Amino acid sequence: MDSFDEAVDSVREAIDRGDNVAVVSDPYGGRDAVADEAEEYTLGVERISFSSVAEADGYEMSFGGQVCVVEGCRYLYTRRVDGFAPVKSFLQTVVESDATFVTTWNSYAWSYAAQATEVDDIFDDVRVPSLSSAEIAELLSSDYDISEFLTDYEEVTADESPSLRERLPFERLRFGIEEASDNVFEKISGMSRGNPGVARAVFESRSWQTDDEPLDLSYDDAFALYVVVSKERVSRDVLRRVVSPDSLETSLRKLSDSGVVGFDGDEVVLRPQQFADAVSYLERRRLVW
Amino acid sequence: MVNTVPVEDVPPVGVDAGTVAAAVVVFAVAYLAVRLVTYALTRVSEASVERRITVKMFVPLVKFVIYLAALYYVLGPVLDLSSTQILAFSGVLGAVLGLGIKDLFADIVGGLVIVLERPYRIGDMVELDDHYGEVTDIGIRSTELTTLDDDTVNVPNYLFFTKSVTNSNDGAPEMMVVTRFHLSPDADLDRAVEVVRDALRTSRYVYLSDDHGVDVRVEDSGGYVTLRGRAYVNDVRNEGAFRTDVTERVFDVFDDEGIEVADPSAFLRSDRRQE
Repeated sequence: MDSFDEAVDSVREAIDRGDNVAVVSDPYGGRDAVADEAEEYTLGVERISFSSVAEADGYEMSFGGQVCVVEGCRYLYTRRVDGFAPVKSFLQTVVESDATFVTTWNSYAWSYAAQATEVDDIFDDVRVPSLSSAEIAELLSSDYDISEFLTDYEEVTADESPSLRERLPFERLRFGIEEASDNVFEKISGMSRGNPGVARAVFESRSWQTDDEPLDLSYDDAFALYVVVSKERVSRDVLRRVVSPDSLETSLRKLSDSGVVGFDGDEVVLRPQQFADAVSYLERRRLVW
Repeated sequence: MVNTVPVEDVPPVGVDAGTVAAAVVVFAVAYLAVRLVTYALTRVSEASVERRITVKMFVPLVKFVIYLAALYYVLGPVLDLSSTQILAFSGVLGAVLGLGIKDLFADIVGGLVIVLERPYRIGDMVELDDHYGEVTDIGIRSTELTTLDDDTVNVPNYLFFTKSVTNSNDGAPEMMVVTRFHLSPDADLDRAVEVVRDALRTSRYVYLSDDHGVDVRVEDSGGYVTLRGRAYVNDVRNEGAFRTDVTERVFDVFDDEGIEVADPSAFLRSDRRQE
């Protein structure tokens, strides 16, 4: 997968130059794999992982390595007054430190934070690109038994040169055409928007075989969905602080019924199978840019 | 010397009951076609905030084209006039315009100019003849606005020639919204500016990009201080909700932290002075 290797190379070059870098991908899009490669690239790497807003809030950063990999930077802010305090404090640490920082960001959290704060002044962003349908097929063939789709696999991986649709300038159009294709791997590629984690989930659940109802949400519901998409996993407590508390439970029930989110104890989790539908919907409502 | 044509010398125009009935049918079909196309374009436009106004821009254009085609279809054969008939018709048209439908004629021409020159489009937020609201229809005769209080206002199209038009978004889905806060001169201004900035950039309705930032301006208004928070709302239809969201959250923090707002009588006095 050349595109993934290019992202890894960009991060390695940034480490060599001593530049701080933000590895950006969609949820389940492969940024953790890039962070793993960065960790193995050199000695003396420290790794910090934020797994919730509460954990990132007030975290005292202390490290002695030359390279610091910080995962889960999407938790460094919340959309409320004074919600940027953790990211401000983190940026201050980065600016004052001699270490090189490799940070990982959810692409929707990054797009927002880059406009609302100064993160893009401190970090150069490296995007983990989406995969082509042939790359998706190869990925799935290495992880699963795809013997029943062998013809489709051979068809999609036969031609090494990029097809016309893969050369289309607009990714959304490309994935739309792929979704309408008869080839299973092209369908999965379209449904996952070339996202490896989502493609795995779609393959496991065989959700390309089912037709889902289009989302129909109120603005409050859609904003709650946006928060879940940008955090991937978020506690009800955080949601209550940024979404209308009165309508939160109704919104979550509606999102859960639509299949876009699930629950893990007190946390609301983005379901990968419905990720592409959720993002398309948020784009149409202009909640992600 | 003016040459006049005696009425008895003008050959009759071929209009009978059948022609009138056919004309009614043609206009009815045109009306239905307009409704159908408007409905289809509206459905398509509502699928995406980004393309809403661009798609709706075609609604008045299609409307004018269909009605003009219908008019031409009806009047073309009927008014296949001789030079004598044209002269007589011109006289009648001049009299009719002079007698009272000149405003209607001006409205139609105004509508055509609005469609072609596009000072505003369906979906734009405009101020027209002291009315502010969203343009919901551009008709043959008038433009329909829906105000923020959900009133429907019909403004004649000819006003476009004589009055200035303020267009807040000019075809873009986003629009700048200014939210004002009046503070006591003793208030902690640094903190107040920070709170207003945070409330703007974290609002669920905000739109941020390289060209669409957030800023807060401080103005000494004589006896009190005004903070003007400026940010873009992601969809013009969310203007009121955006302002409410920001205002509520700012006042919540001002209350919690004791940031003193201006005595209302101070800015009411100032408003009166400005009037």
